[in-house]
Amino acid sequence: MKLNNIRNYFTAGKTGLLTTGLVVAANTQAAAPKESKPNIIMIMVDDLGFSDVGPYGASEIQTPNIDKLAKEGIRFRQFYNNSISAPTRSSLITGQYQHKAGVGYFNVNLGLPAYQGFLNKESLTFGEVLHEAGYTTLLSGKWHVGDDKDQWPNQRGFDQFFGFIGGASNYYNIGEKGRNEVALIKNNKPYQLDQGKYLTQEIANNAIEFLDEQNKEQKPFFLYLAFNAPHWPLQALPQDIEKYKGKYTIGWDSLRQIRFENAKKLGVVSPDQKLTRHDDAVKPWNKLTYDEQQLWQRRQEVYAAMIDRVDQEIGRVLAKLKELKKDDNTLIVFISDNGAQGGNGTSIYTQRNTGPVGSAGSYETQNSNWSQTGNSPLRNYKATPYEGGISAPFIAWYPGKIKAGTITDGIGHLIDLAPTFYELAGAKYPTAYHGVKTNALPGKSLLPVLTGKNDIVQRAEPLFWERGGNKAVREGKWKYVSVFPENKDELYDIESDRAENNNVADKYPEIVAGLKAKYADWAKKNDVVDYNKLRPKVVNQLNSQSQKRDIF
Amino acid sequence: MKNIILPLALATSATVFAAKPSKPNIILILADDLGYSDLGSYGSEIQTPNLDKLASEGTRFKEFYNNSISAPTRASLLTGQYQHKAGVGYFSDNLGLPAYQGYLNQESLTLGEVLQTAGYKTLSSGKWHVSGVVDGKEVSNPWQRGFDRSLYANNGSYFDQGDYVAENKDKKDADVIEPFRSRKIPYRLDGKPYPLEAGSYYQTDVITDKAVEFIGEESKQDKPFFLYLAYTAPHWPLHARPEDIAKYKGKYNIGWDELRKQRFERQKQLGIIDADFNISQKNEDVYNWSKLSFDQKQLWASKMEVYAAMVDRLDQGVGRVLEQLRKLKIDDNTLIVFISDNGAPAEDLVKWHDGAIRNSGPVGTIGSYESQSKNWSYASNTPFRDFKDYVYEGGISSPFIAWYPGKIKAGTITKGTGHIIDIAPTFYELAGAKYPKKYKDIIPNELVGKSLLPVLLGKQTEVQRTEPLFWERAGNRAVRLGKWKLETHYPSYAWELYDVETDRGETKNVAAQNHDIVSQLSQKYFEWAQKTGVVDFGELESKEPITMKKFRESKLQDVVRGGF
Repeated sequence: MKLNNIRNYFTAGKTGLLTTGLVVAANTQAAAPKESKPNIIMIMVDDLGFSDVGPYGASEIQTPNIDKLAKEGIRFRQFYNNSISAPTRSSLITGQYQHKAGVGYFNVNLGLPAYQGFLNKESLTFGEVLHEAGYTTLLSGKWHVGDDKDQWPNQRGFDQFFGFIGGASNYYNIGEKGRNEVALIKNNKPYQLDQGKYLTQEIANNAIEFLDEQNKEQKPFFLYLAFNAPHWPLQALPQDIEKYKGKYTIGWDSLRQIRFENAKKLGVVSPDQKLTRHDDAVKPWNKLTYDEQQLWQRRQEVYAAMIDRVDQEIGRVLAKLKELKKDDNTLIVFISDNGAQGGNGTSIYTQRNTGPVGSAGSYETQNSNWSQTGNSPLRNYKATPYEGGISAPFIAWYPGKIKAGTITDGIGHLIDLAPTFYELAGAKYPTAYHGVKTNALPGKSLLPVLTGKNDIVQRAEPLFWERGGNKAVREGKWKYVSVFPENKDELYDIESDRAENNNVADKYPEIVAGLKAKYADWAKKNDVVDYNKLRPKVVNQLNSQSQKRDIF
Repeated sequence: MKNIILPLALATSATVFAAKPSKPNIILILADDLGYSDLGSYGSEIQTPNLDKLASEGTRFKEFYNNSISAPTRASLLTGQYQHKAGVGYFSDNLGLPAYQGYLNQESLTLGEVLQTAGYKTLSSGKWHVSGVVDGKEVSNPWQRGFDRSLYANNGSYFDQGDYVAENKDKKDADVIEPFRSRKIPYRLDGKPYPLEAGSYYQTDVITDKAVEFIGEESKQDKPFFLYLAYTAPHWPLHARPEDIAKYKGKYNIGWDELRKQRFERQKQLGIIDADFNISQKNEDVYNWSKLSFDQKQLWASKMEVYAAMVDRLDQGVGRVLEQLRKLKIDDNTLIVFISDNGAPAEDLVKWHDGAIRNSGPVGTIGSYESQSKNWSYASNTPFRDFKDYVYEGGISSPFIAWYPGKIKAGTITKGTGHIIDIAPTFYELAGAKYPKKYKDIIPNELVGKSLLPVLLGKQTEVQRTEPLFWERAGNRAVRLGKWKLETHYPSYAWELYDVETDRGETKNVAAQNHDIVSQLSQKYFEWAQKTGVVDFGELESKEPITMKKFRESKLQDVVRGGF
C-alpha cells in the first residue's frame, strides 16, 4: 500500500488551522495518482441472520454475488454488532460505542447525551473523515441515526445521499397518501418511488448513478450501501419470490439443522460447536396445520426473495465497478446490522392488508419462527446480546490484498471498521473537527486480520454491549451476559459453546466478577445509564410515538 | 324386547290395534354445534333449501333452548329430563356422582323406550354421546336403550376412523380428548362393529344413508316409526366434500364482522327477530377482521367455506330423507322437528391439542383437523351473545323447525320459548304413548317439560309452563321466567339479570335495579338445583378431566400484539 506519502501530507497539514489543513490535504490527494487510494464499499444489510446467506449456510438461497465475494475474499466466524439497528449504525458510522455517539438506545431522544437519538458532534462519521481524506462519500439506503434534517447524511459528511431516514420502510408504494410511512429523500429533497418500483433496486440504482457521476472526479470513493432488506415488511419482487416457491416445505426445525450442518461444512462454524437449544416459544413445525405451514412457508419464500434481490443488486454494483475498471482497487465489506428479528406475538393485524405476503399490500414479519433458522446455530434474536442477536456474517473482498477463500475467527466488531477504513484510506482521524474535540476511536483496524497477519483482532480491552438493560462483555473465550429484566449473571465459554447452551457463571465466579468490574468501568466511561432508571423515559417516548410506525 | 313386562306388552299390543294411519311418523333431526343463524331460514347465506322448505311449510320458533353442550343436551332431549336428573349433569365423563355419571340412568326413559311401547319402530342414525362403561361393560347405548335399529357414530374425522386409534395410541387415556376416549370402534350398526374404509365415505352421508335405509325397511312393516337423526355435522373437525366446499369459495372474504351484520339484517327481514332487536356486543376476544393481514383473512375464510359446506351437506341429507318419505308416500303423515344441540363453539381445536394432530392437507380435507373457533362462531350465533358451553343466549339458543303438513300451518314464526325437555312430551302426546309409571321394575322419573303441540298447532304462541326453565353446566347457571333471565358464569357467582323480551342480546345487566327479581329467581334456581341433584361446581371442579380444562383454555384467543 502506497499510503505513506499521503499520510505525511496529511500529518503536515495539521500544523495549521485544522480545517485549512484538511482542505490542503484533500487537494493534495486529488492530485495524487488515482489508483493509490482504494475505493471502499461498505455494504450493510438489515436484520439478516448469521446463516441467511450462502457463504454462511443458506444453501437454499441463491446469493452468487455474495458467494463470489466470500470465495475471493475473507470470512470471519465471529463478527459483532450492537444487536439492533440505530445503535449498530451509530457505531459503524462513527467507530464509537453507541452511547458515546449519542444513540445508546435508539433514534429516540431520551433527554440524556448518551441517549439523544442522533449522532453527536464529537463522534465523526466515516463520511466526514473520509471526505476530508479526499474521498467522495456516497450513501444509498437506510440512515437511522438522526431524524431531523440537520442530522441527515448530507449534513453529516456525505456528498451524495439517497434513501430513508428512519428504521423501516415499505419496499413498494412508499409515501402513499394518507399513510404514515417513511418518505424517501435524495440529497435533502423528497423523492418519489414510482408505482411498481422496488426499493432494493432503487437503492442500487442510486448507488450506481452516484458511482457513474463520481467517476468524473479524480477521487477515490467511499460508498455506504445500506440496504434495508431483508428487514420487514416482507415484500419482494414476484419473479424473485417465484424462485423460492415450495422451497420451504421442510419447515423451520429441519432447516435450522441443515443450516447448522452447512455452516460447519463451510468452515464458518467450528465442527465442535453445537446447535443452540430449541426456542420453546417457537411452535414445532409439525404442530402447525397444513394451512399454517403454507402461510409460514410463503413468508420465508418472500424473505429468501428479498435476500436474493439484495444479492442481485450487489451483482449490479460489482458489474459497475468492473465497467469503471475499479474492481481491482476496491475493498468491499459485507455485514448485517443485527441478528434476525425475533418475536412471537400474534401479529395478525397489519398496516397493509390488501394482498398476500410479499406484495405491496402486505406488511408481514418472519418472527422467531423463521428467525431461529436465520440465526442458526446461534442463540436468540435481534435486540439481545446472545450470539444470535449480535453476530453477523462478515465478508471482506479486496482482490490482490485479501487472500481468496480465507476463513478466520476474526472476532471483529463494528467499532473496528472506521479504523480499518481510515488506515486504508490514509485518513488521520482528527482530534478536533469544526472546533469540537472529537471522541477517540476505541476500535482496532482489521487490516492485520484481513491481510492474514493475525487470525483475530488484537485488542487490549474486552468488547462491550448494552442495549435496553441487556449487557454483555466478551474477553478472550469468555462472554458475560445479563438480560433485562432478569438481570442474572450468565457466563459462556464461547470457544467451546458459542451456542450459549451452558451457563457456567456458578462455576467461575471470579471470571464473572472480573468481567462485571470491567463492564462497570466501561459503562461509566460511556455514560451508560442503568436501564431501570432509563426505562420510564423509553416507555414515555414509545407511547408518545405510538402513532408513528417508523421508529423501529 | 323379550324382557318387556306384561303390562307394557299389553299396552304395545293395544297401540298396534289402534287405527294405524292415525299415528304419525316422527323424525327428530339434531344438528351438532350449529349456530342460531346458520340456516337460510334463520338468516344464513348457506344454501339449505331442504330445511328452508321445512321452515316455509312448517313453523319456526324464535326461542328454543338446549343445554349449551352436547351430552347434557342429548340426555335431556332423549329423556325429557333435566340433564342432571338423567345422570349427565356435566358431560359424558363420570365425575363419580349419580347426577354426573356421564350416561343415561335407567330411571330416565328414552324416546326409543317409550315410543316402542306405543307401537313405534324406533330408529337412530348418528351421534349418541350418552352411553358409558360400567364394570367394563358398555351401557346405555342406543341398542340398549330402546332403539330397534341404530347406526352409532361419534364426532371425529368425517373421512376415516383413525383419529382415536392411530393418533392417540401413544397417549395415556386421561390425555386423550373427549369424545375419542370412549371410542374404540367408531361406528356400530345395531351394536355391532360397522367398519368403513378410510377415505371411501363421508360421515354425514353415512348417517343419511342409514336413515334412508332404515325408513325404507321399516315402512314395509305396518308400524309408525320414530327416527332420531342425529347428525355430527357441522361439529368440528372441519371436514367436507370438495364439491360442497367449491360452492363457498370466496364467499367469506367479507369476514365475520360483515357476515354477522348481513345475517342480522336477514333475520329481521325474515321476522326471526324483531326490527328493534338489540344485537349483542362483540366478544372482545374475537379478532377485528378488517385489521387482519390478507393471508390471515385467507386462512380464516377457508375455514368458514368448509363449515358452510358441512351445513350444506347436512341439508342435502335432509333432502334425501324427505325424498324417501315422498317415495314411500308417507310424507303427509310425518312430523319432522329440526334443532341443534348447542350454539356454535368457541374452542380452538388446534390449541386444545397443543398443535395440529393432522397436517397433511388444507382445511376440509382428511389431512386436516381444525375448528372455526369463536371468530366465525360469533357470526354463526348472530344476534346472540357468546358460544356453546355458556348459558348466554348464543350458547343455549337453537333454530327450531317443525314440519307436519296439514297439521302445522305453513310459514308460521312464533315465539315458542320451547326447551328440549318439551320434545318428549310432544312426541308422546302425538304418538298416543303413555309415559309409564313403571318400566322394567323401575319407577321412571317424571317428565318435566310441556308438550309443544298447542304451540305447533297454533293454539298458543308460547309454551305455557308454571315453572321457570333452568340451566346448569360446569358452574354456568341460568333461570328463565317470563321476560327475565338470571344467570352466572363460572367462576363468577354474581347473578346477572337480563330482560330478554327487550334485550335478548344480553347487553344490559339489570340485576342491580331488580333485586327482588334476582332473589325470587335465584331462590327458584336453588330449589331446582336441589331437586335435580345439581352440585355446586366448585366442589366438582377438581374432578373435571384435565382435557376439559384445556378445552376451556383453548377458547381464549391469543392476544393480538399491535407492534408493526
